[in-house]
Amino acid sequence: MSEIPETTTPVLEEEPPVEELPQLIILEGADDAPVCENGVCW
Amino acid sequence: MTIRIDVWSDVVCPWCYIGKRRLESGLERFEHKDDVSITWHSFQLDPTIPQGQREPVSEMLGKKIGAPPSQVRAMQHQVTQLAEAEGLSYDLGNATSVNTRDAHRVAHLAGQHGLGDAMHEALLKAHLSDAAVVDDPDTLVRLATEVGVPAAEATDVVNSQKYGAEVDADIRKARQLGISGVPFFVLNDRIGVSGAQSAEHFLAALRKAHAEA
Repeated sequence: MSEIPETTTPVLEEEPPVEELPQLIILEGADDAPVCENGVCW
Repeated sequence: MTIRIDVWSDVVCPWCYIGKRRLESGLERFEHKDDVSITWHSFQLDPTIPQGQREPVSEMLGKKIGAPPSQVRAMQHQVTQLAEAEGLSYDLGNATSVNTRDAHRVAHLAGQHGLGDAMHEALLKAHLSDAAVVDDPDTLVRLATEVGVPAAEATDVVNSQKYGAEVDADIRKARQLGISGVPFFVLNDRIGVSGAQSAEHFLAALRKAHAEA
């Protein structure tokens, strides 16, 4: 299996404090992996 | 060791149901699948829909993106075909757009009974495949009881605002994590997977989470 590139999600400057939030590593897959966003899914 | 998967999803999200199936396919091939727990979290694609407002999804979508009915039908046909590849039968042409807050409150009740996955499955199927109206109180109680939630508890939640705080907390956490679209999966509070990725991608994420645990 090929290695998956990693990126780090942007951390928002909102409470709770940053140290209480998980530091996510986003596994990048297909660039066009579908999501629903702002009520639109297509 | 247990791998924890937190999933943010809305019950009216076509890609969330497809993503759920692809996650399950990846899980089926995972060597440690019996050590995986899944927790479903609330996300509302459009929390601004007034409670009680209902309209055909096709009309809602057409207005939202400014597309003619023919374009909306083509888009729905495309996602329906992708759903079929995952063994899902969508009926988007007859789906009804609603505010999903009540459905999420009931899902949280089901989660308290260890039935969160089953309830999420039931709600997705109801909206996307069965053209059920998932803000209808009787429908919500029926779906909850069908997965094993005591009817009296489901009725009590549907007729109140219970678990509203839990819905709000899920949505707030999603915002804090930078989640703007669903489905979104978090493994062991560490690894994020955005979108309805392939089963192979989910399998790779599971193996990575296991290796790092």
